[in-house]
Amino acid sequence: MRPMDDVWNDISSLPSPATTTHFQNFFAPALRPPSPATISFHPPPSPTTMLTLLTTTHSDHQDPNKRLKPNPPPPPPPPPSIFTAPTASPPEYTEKFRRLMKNRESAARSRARKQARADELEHEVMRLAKENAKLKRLQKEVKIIIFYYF
Amino acid sequence: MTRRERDPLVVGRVIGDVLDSFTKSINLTISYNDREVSNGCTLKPSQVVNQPRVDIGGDDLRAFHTLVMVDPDAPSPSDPNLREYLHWLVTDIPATTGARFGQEVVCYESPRPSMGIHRMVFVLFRQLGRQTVYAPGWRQNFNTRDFAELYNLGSPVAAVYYNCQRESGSGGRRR
Repeated sequence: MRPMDDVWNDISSLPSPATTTHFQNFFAPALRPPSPATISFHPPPSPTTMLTLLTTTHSDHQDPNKRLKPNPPPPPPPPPSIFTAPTASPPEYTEKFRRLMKNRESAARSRARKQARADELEHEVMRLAKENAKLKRLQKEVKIIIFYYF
Repeated sequence: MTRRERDPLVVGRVIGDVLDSFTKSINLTISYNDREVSNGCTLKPSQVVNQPRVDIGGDDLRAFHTLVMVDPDAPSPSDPNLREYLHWLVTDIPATTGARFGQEVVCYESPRPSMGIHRMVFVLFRQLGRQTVYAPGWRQNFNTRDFAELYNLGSPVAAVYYNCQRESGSGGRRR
């Protein structure tokens, strides 16, 4: 594995934001075989290596390693222009849009939680009903056997 | 019209966020204080402070299994930049027995979510044989898929998850 210095040199020589999507390959968690036994809490490779972008709008299929967290400072305001209305800037970057998307995602998670729980309970009920029926049948058979022998 | 998906693991996005689709082939029973965990049930941090009882099925004592417990929603489900946070890792569990018969590679850490409602996922893999598994350097940003590939564990054989939020949580509702 290449020394971290080499990796950092590569990164700093790259042109900036357009190529951010390449970065995450360097920071995939390394499951190396160091000290076995109990685990010690080393900090992960510098949190600043988790690159920042706005939370994106979707999708369950996004690779979590590519998922980037919002900057501590809010995204830079759009460059000043003669069109000063907030809607003039790319809609994805407005606070309002971000909040909207976050709320949507939260609502979707909430619905998913509810539905998953309902599905699980349905499965449980079916399973228990089957088991119950089977046990009742067995019980009948046991009663018949006892009746026959006494 | 497509049949609605009914597998709680898919609906709850465990399959997707943590695992790929798999076929369950062995029983996995997780119980905290005699209360069995079923998919999507909710447990409070106070109920999951200590490691649960884990019983696995199967029929061959020579078949060894690995149990992984992760939180894919750390530190917050709306921004899970620590996904997945490794809470527990036990290997060499013989079929028909439980976690206490295995090798604890990463000790159980009690879930203490501070933001949002987290899924706490248990995944069971069948090992090819007894094997040495090294603890990762840290718990955050663990990747169950990569881990399984690294140790040739194949697809999961069972999985179950519950929801957990901070003790005084309001279920996501504004108070």
